[in-house]
Amino acid sequence: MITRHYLVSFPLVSVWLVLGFACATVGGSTFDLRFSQLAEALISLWRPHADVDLGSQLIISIRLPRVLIAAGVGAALAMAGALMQGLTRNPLASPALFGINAGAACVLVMTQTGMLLFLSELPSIISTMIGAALSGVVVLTLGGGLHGRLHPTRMVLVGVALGALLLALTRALLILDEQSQLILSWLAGSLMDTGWDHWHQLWPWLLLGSLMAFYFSQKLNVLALGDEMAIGLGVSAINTRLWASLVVIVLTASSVAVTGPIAFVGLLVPHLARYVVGHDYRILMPFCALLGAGLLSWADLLSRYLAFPSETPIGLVTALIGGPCFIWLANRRKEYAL
Amino acid sequence: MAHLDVKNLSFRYPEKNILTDLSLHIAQGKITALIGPNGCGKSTLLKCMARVLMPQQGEILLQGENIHQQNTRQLSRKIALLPQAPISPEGISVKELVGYGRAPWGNRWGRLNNTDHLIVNEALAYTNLTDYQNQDVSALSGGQRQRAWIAMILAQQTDWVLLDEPTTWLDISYQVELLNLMRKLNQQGKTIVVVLHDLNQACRYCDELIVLKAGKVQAQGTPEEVLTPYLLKETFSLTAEVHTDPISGTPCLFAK
Repeated sequence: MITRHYLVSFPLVSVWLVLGFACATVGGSTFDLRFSQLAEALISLWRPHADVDLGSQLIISIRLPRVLIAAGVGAALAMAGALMQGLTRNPLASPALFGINAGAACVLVMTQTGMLLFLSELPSIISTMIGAALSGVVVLTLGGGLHGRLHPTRMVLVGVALGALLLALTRALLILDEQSQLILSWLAGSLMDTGWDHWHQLWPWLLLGSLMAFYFSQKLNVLALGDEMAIGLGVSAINTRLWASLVVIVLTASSVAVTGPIAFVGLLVPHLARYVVGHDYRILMPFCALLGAGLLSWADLLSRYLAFPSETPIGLVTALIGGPCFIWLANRRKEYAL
Repeated sequence: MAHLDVKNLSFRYPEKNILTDLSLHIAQGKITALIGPNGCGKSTLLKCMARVLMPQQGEILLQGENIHQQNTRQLSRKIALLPQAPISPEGISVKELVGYGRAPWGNRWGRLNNTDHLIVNEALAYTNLTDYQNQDVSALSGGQRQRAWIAMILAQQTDWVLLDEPTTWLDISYQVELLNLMRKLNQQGKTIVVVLHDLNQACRYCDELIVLKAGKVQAQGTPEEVLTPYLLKETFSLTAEVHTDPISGTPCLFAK
């Protein structure tokens, strides 16, 4: 018998997100912030008035955009991971493990260090999109896509190798270019110095990507029955893969452009989500978005406390949480066929 | 009259020719079996008919229309395919699986309306799966699972059904059950093209046999016309006698 608990799991994950969001906005500050000031700040966003105290102003101008970005990136990476698992039918697929993150980061650093001058005038998301797309193509091609048959293990091997190669290349570029500490921490995945302008740069892509991810969720369900079956049911396997890949690129590239590559979210969140709500992508997508957004909100809070008062890059926090969680998940779950 | 015409079809993989200049005609309302030795191209031909594979040359016409030029969703209301190894996803119930058969008809979000539910329930009842409808597909036995796939194809409500070796990996009792189900579908008015390995089963359950060898049609006709010692020798390099099956009255081969 199959029983599902959507009525419990969705409210719970929403509470997890809202709590994480609220705590991350006020917590871990050297300046004493309170939840009442968050409420005050949110009210003043709707109805601007002059007498907002310093704490609320701090929340509005610095904290709120930062946590919004954390939550947005968490949602984006989680959905990208779920999409990748669906389109490759590989439970290990994720933006980080397949080198998509690293590709995006590498091309962005190339652009910023002046290697790809023609891109430097354009928004950074163009660079990250090119990078994400290129590594995606490499992984799919070397992973057996040329022969029309994607090889799950080979894809992971190619992705990991490519990711390591690109990361080394990126580091080398930064060392040669004598870049500052800030970029190095961006490379680990960081929310430092992110503000409203970054959020405005992120949300349109996020919205577009999410809508497309929801639109393709039923097609991914059909694709899970195998390519031949999907075609028999009138869902073109190739078109679905192409479009879903495009959505992955949009979601990953927009995230990496702002926060740098953050690992483990795209792998861990979909697995946790599948464990809770099952494999139906129509349910899985929104659940992943909420769970991923919540996870990165909490991770942002942790990132302030781990080495208080200085800040730990959020990518390190997700790796610290994600690594053990994933080992635990991998051990308690039997292998599933996507 | 709706019929399927294959005209001068050629399909090759980079390293090997599979089908060469193959033409045939399949009439509506029958069960037609594609048989032949391993590697003769029978599965490839079926996949071309299901537009899973794109032939390099030639065309396949359904009611005179080239299937490779039709909208794939529209075509999935006319032809259903049961592949040799469909993937049964984890964590979905039998009823949900059968519900996917409504994908060509229903809305794109997979929401089933009352009519869809009715059709799905009918398909479940038809395949004796009503009692299992809420079970996890991965918990079914091989025979039940194959029936669930058939139910899904039934819910697809197509006139044409293509089956790619549907009896492989099934116990003999399930094989017979499935073949009887196939015949029932045919009596309901569905035209069936099936790839089969077992020649005796093909003779017993099918109206027409198409024998392929090395990518070409070797013979086509009723089992009585086709299954001769001469053909078995030529196509399968098998010395055999052909007798009449005492139960069904169809030809039945015995290898020497």
